[in-house]
Amino acid sequence: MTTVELSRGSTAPSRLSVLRPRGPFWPAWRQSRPLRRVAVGVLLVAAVGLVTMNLLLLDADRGLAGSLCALPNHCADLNSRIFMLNTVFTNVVQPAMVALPVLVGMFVGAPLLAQEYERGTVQLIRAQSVSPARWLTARLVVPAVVVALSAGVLSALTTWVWRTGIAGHRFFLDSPFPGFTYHALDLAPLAWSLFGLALGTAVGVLLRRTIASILVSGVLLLLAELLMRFARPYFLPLVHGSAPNSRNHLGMFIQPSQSWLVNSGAVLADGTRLSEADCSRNYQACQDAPTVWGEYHPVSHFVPMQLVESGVLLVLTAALVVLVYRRVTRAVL
Amino acid sequence: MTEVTGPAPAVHAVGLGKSYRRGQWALRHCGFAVPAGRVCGVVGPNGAGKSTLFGLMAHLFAPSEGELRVFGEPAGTPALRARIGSVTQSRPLYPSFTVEETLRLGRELNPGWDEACAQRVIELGGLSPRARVGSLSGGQRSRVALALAMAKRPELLLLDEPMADLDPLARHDLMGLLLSDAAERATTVMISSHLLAELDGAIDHVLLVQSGRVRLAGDLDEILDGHRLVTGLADAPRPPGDAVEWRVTGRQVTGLLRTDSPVPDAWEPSRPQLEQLLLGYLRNPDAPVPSAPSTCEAAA
Repeated sequence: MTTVELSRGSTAPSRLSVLRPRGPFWPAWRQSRPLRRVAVGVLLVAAVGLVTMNLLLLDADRGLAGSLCALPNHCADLNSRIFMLNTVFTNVVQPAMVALPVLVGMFVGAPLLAQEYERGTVQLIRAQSVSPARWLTARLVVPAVVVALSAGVLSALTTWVWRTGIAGHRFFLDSPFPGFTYHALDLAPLAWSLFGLALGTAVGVLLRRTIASILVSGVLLLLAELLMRFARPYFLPLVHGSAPNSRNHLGMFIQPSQSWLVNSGAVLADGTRLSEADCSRNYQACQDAPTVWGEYHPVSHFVPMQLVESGVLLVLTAALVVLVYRRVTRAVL
Repeated sequence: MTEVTGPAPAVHAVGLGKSYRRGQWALRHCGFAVPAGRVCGVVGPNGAGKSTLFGLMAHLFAPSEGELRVFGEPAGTPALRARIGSVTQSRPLYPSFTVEETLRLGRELNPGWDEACAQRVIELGGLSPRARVGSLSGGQRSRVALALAMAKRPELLLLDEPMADLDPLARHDLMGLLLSDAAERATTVMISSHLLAELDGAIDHVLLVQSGRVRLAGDLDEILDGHRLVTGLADAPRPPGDAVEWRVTGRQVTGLLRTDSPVPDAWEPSRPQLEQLLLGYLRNPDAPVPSAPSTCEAAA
């Protein structure tokens, strides 16, 4: 008993000192102070805001389902609350999550090394005994961990609000696939934030000018998000569906709920397949066609699609990190 | 030749050249050697290539041609990192760090860190450890940079105009500390300065860089002994030896000769002071120079 207590007592301080940053991790930790403060602030505001939002949503849901709804005007109040909170989620939270990787790239990644070059502090580091590669590792790992943790927590919060408070609601059925929603859920914020950090850092190393790097990495990240929007549907094989046309369909294919319709059209009586473009040119033909068809991603494709996308981003991130290492550790400053 | 016997010189350059842009040489055909344990003054006009030479020695960049060895190893060898300390001309430091944190950076990144030495340099200037580096004056920043370089305990200390923005008193104190410290530990010091008088009495080796060439390199006493400052009348026959400088003022002539033999009676010879010698060369960029290989020989 005593020996156990004693050994525990003696290992406690050393376990703590393992956590204390040492060697090149110390300056990296010290330099990440502003980032850590901003991250804590953002997480606190986001946590309070999103938890409050979801509690209000769930409460309204319960209220609608329960007998309270019988009271005059009460349902209208609850519905308008749900509508208002949905609007806030769509117009504020989701765009913020789309912007997150761009902001990480611009304000964490781009200045990270560009500023070291601009101020000449890489020369200061070169004059120390530590190897440039070890220094760079610490310089990258610390902000990467802060960014990954922050993006992970934010994503957990938004995913929780969306899945329990928003997607589950009977009147405001939302699909996870549309551009802004997709970026706010599950792995996407994490993978995109790390990619943003790597891209910003690489741009900073190449340009060596802080302001220029911030602007260029912002533009590049927005372009990357846009490009990915067009590449995303082809990460997984599309599910093909067709249905008999009816008056209700008006020549359009109705996809299963929450799925992402990528292509659609109609099949004429003679077997000719018409695409969406054909239908917009010849509306009447499609409306009178016996069959409509569509290619879509069912909601079950969402997680695999994010995994494939994260894998693509991870490979790109690794390539950018290799580029940064080669640039920083070469002989010429 | 370039063969060196005995312990490897602290710095040894052979045909060293560096060009930042194609065809434009910041430094070329440089050959010299600085024995270990010397305090070597690097002098020359602005833009002569001094900082380029310091950058090459600190391996901020690689030479474009030729060879540079530090303690017998090619510059840039990872093992040299801990053995070279350097203060570059721009003295880059992290402005958001305090003085204390800047020293902590040195302690964390250098295994041979000497906290007492760092504290002495800082305290000598009355700097508050809690002051932010960004709020310090140029001279105070120089002191922090110097503390960082000295407390690393390098075997070769590269100081590119370390005292330029210090006040005369601080300069005097720091120079004294630097020299006694270097003597105690047999540190090789390469120091550049515009203040030639400041170097007098401090250095025992000299490297004169001008227009991207090393014009003069070697032991200071040997170089001074190899020159004569002569004064005499203008119509007297010119004494033998290469004239570095020959200035006629009225009937009076003052000349700096490269010779170690006695001069004719018509001339009054004296051993030049460091400043006189260096000014003589600097004023006359086209004066005859010992040929490149001989600078190496003289130095080695």
